[in-house]
Amino acid sequence: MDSTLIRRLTYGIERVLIVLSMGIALVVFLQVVFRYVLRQPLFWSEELPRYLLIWMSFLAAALAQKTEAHINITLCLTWLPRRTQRWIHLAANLVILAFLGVLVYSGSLVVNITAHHRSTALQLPMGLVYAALPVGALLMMLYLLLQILQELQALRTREAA
Amino acid sequence: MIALVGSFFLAVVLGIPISVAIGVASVLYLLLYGSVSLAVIAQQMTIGIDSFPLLAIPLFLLAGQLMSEANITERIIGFANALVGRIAGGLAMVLVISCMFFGAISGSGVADVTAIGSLMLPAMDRQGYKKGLSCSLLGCAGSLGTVIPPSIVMIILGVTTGTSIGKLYLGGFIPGVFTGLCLMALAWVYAKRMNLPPGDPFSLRKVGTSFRQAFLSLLTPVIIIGGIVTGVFTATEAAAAASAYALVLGLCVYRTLTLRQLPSIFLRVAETTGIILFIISAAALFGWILAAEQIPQKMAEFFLGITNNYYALLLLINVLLLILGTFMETIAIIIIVVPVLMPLVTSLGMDPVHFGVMVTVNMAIGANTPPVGVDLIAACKVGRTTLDEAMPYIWPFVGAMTVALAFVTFIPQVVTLLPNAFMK
Repeated sequence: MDSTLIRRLTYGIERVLIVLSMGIALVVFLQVVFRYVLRQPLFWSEELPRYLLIWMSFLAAALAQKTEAHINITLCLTWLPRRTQRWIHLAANLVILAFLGVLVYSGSLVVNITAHHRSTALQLPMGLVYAALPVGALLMMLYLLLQILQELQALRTREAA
Repeated sequence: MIALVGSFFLAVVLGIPISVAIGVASVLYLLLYGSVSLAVIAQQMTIGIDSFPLLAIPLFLLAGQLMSEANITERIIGFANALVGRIAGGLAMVLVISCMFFGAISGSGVADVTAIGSLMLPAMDRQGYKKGLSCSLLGCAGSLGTVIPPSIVMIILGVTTGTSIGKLYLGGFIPGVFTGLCLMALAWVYAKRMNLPPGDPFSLRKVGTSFRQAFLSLLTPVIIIGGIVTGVFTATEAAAAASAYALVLGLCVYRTLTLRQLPSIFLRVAETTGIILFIISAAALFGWILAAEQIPQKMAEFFLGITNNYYALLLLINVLLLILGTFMETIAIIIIVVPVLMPLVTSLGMDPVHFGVMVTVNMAIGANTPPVGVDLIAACKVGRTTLDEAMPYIWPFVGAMTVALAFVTFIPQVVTLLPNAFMK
């Protein structure tokens, strides 16, 4: 795998996340200003940050896979011998991979169904909103796959030694 | 039902992240017993986080991050020191009071623990506090960040059960302060027994100067709570206003924050939000299955089969939640278990706000009980010590919090007094 490509991808995701999270703060703040200071509520300021939040959450979840920051409990495994631990970790990662695969499939179904629905305020195609989950899951799969490959490599070299 | 819960626990034990474990259990269930299109998975997981109130999570995280990056923590500690530093075990008292003040700005226990702990623990080390003692106290006091408003746990609780977040915030105020006082009382006993030194003598002048220095940061909770109580803000809008205020304070008034720090702050907010909301998203699917299978009704029947005495039931629920809290993460409990219990307790005439705050206090205890006690673990990490060191000290402090929980559980006015007085 081309690691500079992955680095660029990660950099890209990080920039997008910064923009999304700034966007959320800005729009909600504008909502307050427009409603109470200018007394002219915005019609889109409830809807837009919600959709930005959906995209931000699933993209950030993908990035969290890269650093293995998702909250898990490893305590139960620490009593097992190291070798067994490695194999269980590998098996757990394969379960996660399968789950993400289901998400991508299920997400693409929903995107197809809702592609032509429009959102109430901004008239955005809802398919665009629902695309966040499958896209996030796909990126998460990519990071996970790299980790699994690395693990397999580590297991093989250990076996040889 | 057993397959659903069983596969979830198996997945958690295998070290699979909680969010994925919830999702895997739900997907397995749908594949085995479901008769609906698989599209429902992605649909529920997306709808589950499509909510305006949930936007308060990144925004309160942002306000907390901005405040601690702007070094307001030192000002808060300075003020707390002037107030209670004189008492025996002065630094322990300062630690608890600072955690309570900071808890009124940030909405998360771990944020509270790291912000206050990184400044307080080195000072406590120098005065001869045992590391296990100070870290146990820090974990417990920090967990008040979720009880004292604002609180991310309460946002999630409000969203999943349809309870007013504003009322939950007001309801959490007295229980949070009361729990803090219980912790201080126990810390005082330790200080007397271990001969821990008091700080500088009390002087009104020092209280005055340190208050002036901390005043603008202490105004944050006033903006948040005041805005929500008077109906000016929703919780989400209050969080945005607090963030804007923190930004102005850090950039223009204190000048401790630079524009260059902002991208990394926003990125960190996005990352933490993603981890939390991915759990909520998966739990929405799980909750959809629970509702479709009428699990809440069945659970209610089960509990009422054991006892229909109101007090016995509350005791039972608290014990159940305390046990779950030792090995499960707070957010997961809130979104899986609480919606199941809520209809049960309200059918017995309990105020949803009372129940919500009770659960929050219970979860604060769970955040300090090993093996899965996120606040205690964070405290030990900040204090560079191990859970083993904290073991002899954590249980008495957990005991003190449990006493507070008993008050909150059996005297509803502790919770309902403020929301009933200010929000009708």
